[in-house]
Amino acid sequence: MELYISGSFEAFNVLYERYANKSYQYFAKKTQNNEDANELIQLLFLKMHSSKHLFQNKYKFEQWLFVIARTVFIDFYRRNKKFSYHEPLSDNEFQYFQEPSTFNADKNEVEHLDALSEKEKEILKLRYEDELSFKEISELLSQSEVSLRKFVSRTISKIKAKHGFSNGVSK
Amino acid sequence: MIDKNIENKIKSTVYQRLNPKPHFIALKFLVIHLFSAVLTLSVCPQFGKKMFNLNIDLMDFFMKITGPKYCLLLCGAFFIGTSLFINSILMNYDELRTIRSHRHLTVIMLVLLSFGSFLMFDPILFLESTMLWFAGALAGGYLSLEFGDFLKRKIAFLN
Repeated sequence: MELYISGSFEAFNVLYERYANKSYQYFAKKTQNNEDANELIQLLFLKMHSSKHLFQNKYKFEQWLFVIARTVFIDFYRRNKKFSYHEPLSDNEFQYFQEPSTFNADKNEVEHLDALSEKEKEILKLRYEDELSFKEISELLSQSEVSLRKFVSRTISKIKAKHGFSNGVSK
Repeated sequence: MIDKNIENKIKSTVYQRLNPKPHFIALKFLVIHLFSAVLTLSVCPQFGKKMFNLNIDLMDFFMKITGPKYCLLLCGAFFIGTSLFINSILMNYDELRTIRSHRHLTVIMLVLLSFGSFLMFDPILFLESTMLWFAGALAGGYLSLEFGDFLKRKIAFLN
């Protein structure tokens, strides 16, 4: 990354060859549309190029790229609003960007997400990971905003109850 | 699979951005310097030359700090430093990287060009005041380039 920031096109090529296909798979799964996935890939790498000098070595490159990819996807969806989700999100989207040897899911997150239904996981991730508004989620899933708010509130209460939280204090 | 045309477009765009054309950078640099010169000359005269008759006069402030003799140090630093700082902010990172890779040439040429312009308006300039202005201008120029690069790497909205 340092070489790329210093102006090396060869360094960019190495990063591209390493992550382009993984990024494409991520977008293809999100959009279920090759044309949109190709457009998103272009947006991703151009945005990556514009922000390359903001990269800090304390983070892993794939994590940084994943954050940009997610942002690019959300912006694209908000601009176009022409596609909807065709399948629920996987438990950990980040795995698309990781090298197999570095994959290390957070144990606590996996444990408490496993207790939720697929629908609960999907909606929570749309709201808190992808940071979509309730209005956007209601358009995506064709549900009313009111019912979504109640659903999220019930799901969070369920998580709190499972982990023994009471009025914000752990038992 | 990624479309081959898209792949080629990504690579050629990134290549062009990593290697901006020098004459384009030079032109952009000079235009920004001109804009900055108008701005700085409005608030701080250089060798007695002021652009507009505004109530702000930084030279008085500099004189209070350094005295009448050495205020030229700060005037030079302010004039060239402001120009290079504004250039650092307005150029994209690859353009700034190109300028910084030729920083000595850039700063010295800018200082000489600016001084030459002032000389055209007033051929009689004393050696001591000239040297002081040069020293301030060079120091201000180098510091501004480095500070501008530092800010660009830290603050996202400057990009």
